[in-house]
Amino acid sequence: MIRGHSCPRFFREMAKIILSISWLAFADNSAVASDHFNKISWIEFRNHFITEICSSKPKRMKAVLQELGSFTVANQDPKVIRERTQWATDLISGIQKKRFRCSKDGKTYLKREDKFLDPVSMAEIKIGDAKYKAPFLHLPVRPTLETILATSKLINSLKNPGTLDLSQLALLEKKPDFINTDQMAYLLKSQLSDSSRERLVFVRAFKMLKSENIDEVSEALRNLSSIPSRKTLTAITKVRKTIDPVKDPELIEIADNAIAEISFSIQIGKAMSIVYSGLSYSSILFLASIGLAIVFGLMGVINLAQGELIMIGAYVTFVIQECLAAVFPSMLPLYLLISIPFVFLITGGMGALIEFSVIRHLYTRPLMTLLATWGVSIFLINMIRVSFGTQNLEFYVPDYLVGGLSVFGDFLITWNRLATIIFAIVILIFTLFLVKKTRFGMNIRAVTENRSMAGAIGVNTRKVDLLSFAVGSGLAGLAGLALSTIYNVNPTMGTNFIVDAFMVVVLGGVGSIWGTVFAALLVGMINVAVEPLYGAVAAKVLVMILIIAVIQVRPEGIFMMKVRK
Amino acid sequence: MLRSSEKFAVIFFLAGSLLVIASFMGLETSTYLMNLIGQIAAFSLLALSLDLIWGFCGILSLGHGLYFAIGGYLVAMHLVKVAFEKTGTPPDFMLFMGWEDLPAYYFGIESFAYLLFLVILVTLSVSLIFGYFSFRSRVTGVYFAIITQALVYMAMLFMFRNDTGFGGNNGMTGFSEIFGLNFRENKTATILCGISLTVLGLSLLGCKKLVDAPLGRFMRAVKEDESRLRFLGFDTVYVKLTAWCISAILAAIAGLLYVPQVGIINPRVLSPELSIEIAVWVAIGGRGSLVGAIFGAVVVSGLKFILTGLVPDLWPFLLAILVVGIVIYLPNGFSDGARVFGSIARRLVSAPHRKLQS
Amino acid sequence: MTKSDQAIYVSGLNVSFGAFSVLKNLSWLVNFGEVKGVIGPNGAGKTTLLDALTGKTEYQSGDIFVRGRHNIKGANEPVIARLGLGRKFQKPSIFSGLSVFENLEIALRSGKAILQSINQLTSHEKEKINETAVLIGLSDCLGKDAGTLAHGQKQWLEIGMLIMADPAVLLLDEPVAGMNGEERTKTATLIDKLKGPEMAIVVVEHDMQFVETVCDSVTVLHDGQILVEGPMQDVKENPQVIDVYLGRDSENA
Ligand SMILES: Nc1ncnc2c1ncn2[C@@H]1O[C@H](COP(=O)(O)OP(=O)(O)O)[C@@H](O)[C@H]1O
Ligand SMILES: [Mg+2]
Repeated sequence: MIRGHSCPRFFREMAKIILSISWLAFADNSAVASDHFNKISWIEFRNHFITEICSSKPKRMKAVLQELGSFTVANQDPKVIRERTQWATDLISGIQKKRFRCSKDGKTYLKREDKFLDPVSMAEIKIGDAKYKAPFLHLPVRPTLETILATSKLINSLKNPGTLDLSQLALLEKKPDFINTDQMAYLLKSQLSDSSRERLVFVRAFKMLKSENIDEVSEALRNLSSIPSRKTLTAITKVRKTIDPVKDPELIEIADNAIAEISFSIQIGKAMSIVYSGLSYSSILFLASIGLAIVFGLMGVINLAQGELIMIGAYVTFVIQECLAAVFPSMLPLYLLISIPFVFLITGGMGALIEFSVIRHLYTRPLMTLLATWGVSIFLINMIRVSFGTQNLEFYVPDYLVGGLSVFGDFLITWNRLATIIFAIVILIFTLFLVKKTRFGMNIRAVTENRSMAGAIGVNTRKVDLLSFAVGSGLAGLAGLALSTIYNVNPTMGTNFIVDAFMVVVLGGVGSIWGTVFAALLVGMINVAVEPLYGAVAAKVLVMILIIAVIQVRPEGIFMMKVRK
Repeated sequence: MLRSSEKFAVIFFLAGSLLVIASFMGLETSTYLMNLIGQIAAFSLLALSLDLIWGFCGILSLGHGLYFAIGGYLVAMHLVKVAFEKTGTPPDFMLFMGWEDLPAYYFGIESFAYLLFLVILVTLSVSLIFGYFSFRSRVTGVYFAIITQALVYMAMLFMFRNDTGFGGNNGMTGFSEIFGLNFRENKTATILCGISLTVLGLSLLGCKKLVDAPLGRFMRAVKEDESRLRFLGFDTVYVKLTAWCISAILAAIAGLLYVPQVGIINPRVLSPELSIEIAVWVAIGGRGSLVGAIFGAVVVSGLKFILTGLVPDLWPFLLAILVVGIVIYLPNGFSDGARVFGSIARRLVSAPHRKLQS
Repeated sequence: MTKSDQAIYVSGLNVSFGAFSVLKNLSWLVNFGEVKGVIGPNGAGKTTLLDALTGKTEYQSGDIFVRGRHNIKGANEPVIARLGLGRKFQKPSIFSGLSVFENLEIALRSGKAILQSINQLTSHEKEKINETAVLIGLSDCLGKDAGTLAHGQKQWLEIGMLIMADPAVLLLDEPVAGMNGEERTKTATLIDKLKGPEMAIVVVEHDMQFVETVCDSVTVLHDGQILVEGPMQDVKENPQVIDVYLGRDSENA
């Protein structure tokens, strides 16, 4: 066989004719087209593709891009597919970056790192002094270009199992209308993680939703209804409006069902997110009020500076973050963990100081303790205000706390809130251990029950008071640490928490750990659930009414401890 | 002590009435000074109201700002309505919310008599409901204090909302006149100050009579040993409720006097800090002494006026130290202070080498 | 009210704190005209019995009738007190910031309706206060702050306060604790004077001598149950009592 210069040219012409005929068929039914692609060779197609692109005609470019998409997966051999997607990737990125150029007389090149390549064979070539121009990319072409590129890259990334290029997947999710059905079908046939498959099904369903084929639309509807999100809901609602109720009554029904199902799931997702953020707020509340509750049970005093100890905890965390950033930048991502002992010791120490210098002198006058600790609180607020200013602090959020896991509908398990919840649980276990299993805890319980008796049998009640107050303050400091990446941190932040913490103490009952847990959950949940609907006031009012109602029947809180007065 | 309350009451009353009369006769005064004295008089009344309930009945409220605000907001509504009717310029919050007219609950409030009626009605309802449920369930001491604080905090959050018709975040201001007296006139400040002093004097006298009456004895009995009183067959709920409501109304009147003099009210009067500050005045002045409470309010709020102007950053620290120091070392505030200073002075004279007892 | 009415009738009373049961299925009777002593070792439940009677402590089951027909289940302290139950506490509880006169005055007004209680005292009422002051031996210190009284005087003042409310039943928890011999005699005389056909007096005491002097009959409480009941002579000779109460008491001492 003679291979001359005319040979590719001949093929090109041939392919052009064949394809232009077959195009009509492809547009209607891709299965036919893909059968057809087995018949023309890959090399022929590449030539055809280049010609079409060089035409700079948006319609033709779009068409041939879709053809390319189908062609990449027309052969079942994974090696072949990889080779073709690689070519598609190279070429399309070349087109996008204007490194692919055509001359008037049909010559083309692809430039890669100062080398000129033949776009079909990717062999190095010399180029003459002809004028080369990058094909113009009309706006309507670009989404197709990007989508085919992304899909090709996605398929290409399949070579190692489990390495699906998620960033490309995300691109597809943004423009599902332009994807190539064949490529999608291929992708769905390959081995994928469940979550990626789900996302792909979702992307394909979005495309199928627009299809003229009723079966496809109904399949898409069914697929989409299992993936509840606001986006799906909008898409389906849109499609629902275009369906002719006389012609396709069944489709309407399917669409309505899908809408109902999704709305329901979205509601559930919403409920779950509320429960979740309620849990995280409750965790903070628990940390903030457990010390308050223990000390109240023990000494009958409420520390109005508790909110400020939370604030100090957050500021200590901040200082440690800054120190690490300056001295050991590599340790910075761990600053939250590193801060834990510092925060606990510093705020605990401050608590001990407050107990020793103020509260100790006011044992028999609990109401005066309120005022004195208020004095302490304005002292602390202003101390911080003078030294740090009033603006909100900027906390570095380590990577492992950014983002989260999308679970259901719009419900996202964010890592920072999860960390808070886990932290609170750890502290709860620690506190339970401390109070139930250690000698110190036994002393706390003894003094809470009967101070003079405990004193008589040799418990050093003063020391117990001091230590419990310190521990309670340390826990409040830890609350400050836990909320530093979630809430605003500024000198007056404590006031926002203290009132809720009061409510927890009153509701939970004096000195009861489980009561505090329960009340923190209750108050936290009510706040988070009611606030978005009716505002913060309604939430507080509800908690207040609850408190007054509870007090009517159980004056000493839900989980009161029987103490002989 | 017995005499001195009445003496002070008469002094306040006379000074106030004289001011009012003098200003009608054309006395020119410093508006700033008159406003200052008038505001402090309003604060004194507020302190008096808290002392009645805390000093004599043993019930500490850390939310008395609530009643102060009820009086203040209602009078502000009155003033806003009057200003709107007289000048035709709508208050800011109407513009802000795009309202054509004031909300329905402003109906009739341009009448001062109706305003007074409303102040009493609203204050009584709130204090009765809250008091009844709390006292009935025997909420006392620290519990009661923090619940009242939660209540005032809630009210503050509510007032921060912009859609309530009470001015939201920015509060209510832009008053034009009161009893036909223009706020720009010098006379107005003097008269308001005079009225505040007069009301303070009358209230002081009333409180004195009250605490000396059988009810006052019951209040002190409640403070000393509430359960003893119950076992004698007395339902203490009603003593406490009566004292509580009287105290609430006095606080509301204080708010009513205060707002026209400062010319503005905003949700910050409901902040827990202000409410605690009231308790601080009383604690510093001396619980259980009516004049002491007034003295505390005058000293602390006077100092605050002066020092926040001179050394704004230092004032909070001074206040903190003052509070902690007095609470620890002078359990009865200045009433103790006088005794301690007296004994120090005596010792210095007689036996300078002897150690002080605290 | 007739003499035959029972002042206090307790049936099947159970009081417990958590799992700890203090009074166990207690049934007990006090008649008008009688002075009843209640004795028993520390922790036997004597004070708790009074707590249950006066509404201070809730009881889990059983019934308490006061003056024959009033079931006090669920009633609060003031309501019970107004049925005619006056109680003196183990630890003297008077209003120490008020004068003796004021203490008595408050007690006088306490049982009345609110509005009545703010009127000025009538001369009849003033007379009553003075009479009571004479009765309790405090007529010389009417103007004194109650807090400045001697311990014994405080106890009498508290009894005086109870008398002001015209009680039908007096419950006295350890009325002579901390008193010297002379004061005890005075207290015994006082109780004798208060005794009458329309009055029932319950005296909870440790002092056997005192109980023997003032009481018509005695109930011995042990471990939340009634051990023996009857005239002091009989009780004193009861071997069980000697064993449980006196025995343990001497052990404690
Ligand atoms: N509120 C209470 N909580 C727990 N235990 C109590 C309470 N009141 C009484 N007790 C217990 O009940 C028992 C009886 O006490 P009490 O009636 O005071 O005895 P006494 O006969 O000495 O007066 C004691 O063991 C006491 O500890
Ligand atoms: Mg006892």
